[in-house]
Amino acid sequence: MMLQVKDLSVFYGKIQALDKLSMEIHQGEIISMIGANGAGKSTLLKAIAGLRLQMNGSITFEGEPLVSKTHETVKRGIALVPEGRHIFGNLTVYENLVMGSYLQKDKKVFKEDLESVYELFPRLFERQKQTGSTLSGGEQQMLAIGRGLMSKPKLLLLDEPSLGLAPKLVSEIFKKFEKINKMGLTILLVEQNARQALALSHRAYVLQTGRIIKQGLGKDLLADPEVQEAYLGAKQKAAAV
Amino acid sequence: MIKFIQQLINGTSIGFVYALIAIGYSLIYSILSFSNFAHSTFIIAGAYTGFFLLTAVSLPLPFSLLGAIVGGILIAVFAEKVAYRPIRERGNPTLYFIIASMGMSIFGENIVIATIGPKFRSYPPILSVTAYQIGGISISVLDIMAAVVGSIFLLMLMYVVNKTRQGMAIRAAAFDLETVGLMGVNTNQLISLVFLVAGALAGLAGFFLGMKYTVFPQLGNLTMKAYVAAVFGGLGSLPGAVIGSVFLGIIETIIAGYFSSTLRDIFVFALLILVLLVRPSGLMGAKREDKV
Repeated sequence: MMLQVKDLSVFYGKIQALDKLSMEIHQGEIISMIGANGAGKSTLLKAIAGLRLQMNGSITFEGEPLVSKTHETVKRGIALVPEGRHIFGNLTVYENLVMGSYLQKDKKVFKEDLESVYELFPRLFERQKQTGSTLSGGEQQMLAIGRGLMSKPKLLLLDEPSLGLAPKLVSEIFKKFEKINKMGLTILLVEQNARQALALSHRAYVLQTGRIIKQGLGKDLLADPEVQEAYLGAKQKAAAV
Repeated sequence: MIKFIQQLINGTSIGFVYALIAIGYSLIYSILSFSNFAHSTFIIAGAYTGFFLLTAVSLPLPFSLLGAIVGGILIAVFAEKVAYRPIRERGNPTLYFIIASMGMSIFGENIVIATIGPKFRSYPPILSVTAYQIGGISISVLDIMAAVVGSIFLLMLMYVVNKTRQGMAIRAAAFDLETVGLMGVNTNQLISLVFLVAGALAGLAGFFLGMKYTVFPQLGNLTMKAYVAAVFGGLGSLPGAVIGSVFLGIIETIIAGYFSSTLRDIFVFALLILVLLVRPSGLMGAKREDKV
């Protein structure tokens, strides 16, 4: 098992965001976490990534517990591509990618990684000298993903990568996730765009108010009537007509 | 005309000292988004360390200057660890930083009064008396040293910020500190580094101020001038801090030279209010990308 979350509870003051959540990820999987806004999906990613949270429970990665320090988590091989991209708007595309490889001391490895990111997202290569703030939303998302890959993670955490992107671009980026997965990376994807996330994933969890209410294979959950009703908008569409 | 050139030179010299303070101030502001009033404490730490090394220990000037820098660094890094880090780790609002920094500023000033005493003390007259005369204009060795050493340090800082890995992390942190942590940067270490740099520059400034004027517990209040300069240049912008400081230094000496030195501070703070009204982002602070 690559990552194991056990009885994880997270609080924001008096509000409980996660309630004894347990889940696991195996090497090579694409796992998605779907659920409504405020269900606790992003909180889970933040807890894994080591952001400072008020929490109890345990998170182990490759058999060893993770500490709540983001820079240690990156060292262990976990990269978070945060919600809302958070690229450095004052740095160039190239500099953003250099920041992604901050812990990489080997120049040769850095060059290889940079090339593979440019190969995955040729647009970033074209824009490498532009500052981050001049990129379009889709390009910023590509940069955020590319920057995450630059730390050579084993596990990539993606927080709402489809947010604010045109549907066509979403499909394009989701195809890249498959490619990244084939490169050997394990992916944990948090998405409100449940249909595409489930179609892409090997397994998935459904999160509601801090608890996992359903889990299973991606394709099984896609066919699940309850999931369809609550997250895929099947019933609402019918009602609207 | 000669008088004007003389004022220009005097102003530029004091402007460089302001720049040393303003840059550190700006750096801290750009990363932690608060005005560090405790900067005054870093300055007096440098000024008094330099003073005691020159007088009590009789160290030669270059070593005393280095000592002043170390004094500024120690207080700055200590202040960050003791006061700001706990506030940050508890996730408290920015207002707490400002209050803590004001507290430290008052504490620093009063601890000096309580231990060393409230007296004004003069640096030994090593450099301040010697001056070059060129066609009626006199340039003191101290002014030359302040400008040269100040520029060397500022250039070194520009190099670090623009060309090194840590510098890139500082620029990135000015944009988004939390995300810098996600890149594998130890943000606590990075913030310590920023305070180290700010403390070194403040200590150096304190040494020059002590030589130029005297050492006294309220010497750190000159931080207010550097603050005006930093706002004028665009708070958070490093080139802005330098330009604002030199500009302020020149304006100040010209006002003091042609009108009256009592008008000087009235003018400086009127300028602050005017800048905040007309162009709150300052000269260079307009674009987000210039933020460091």
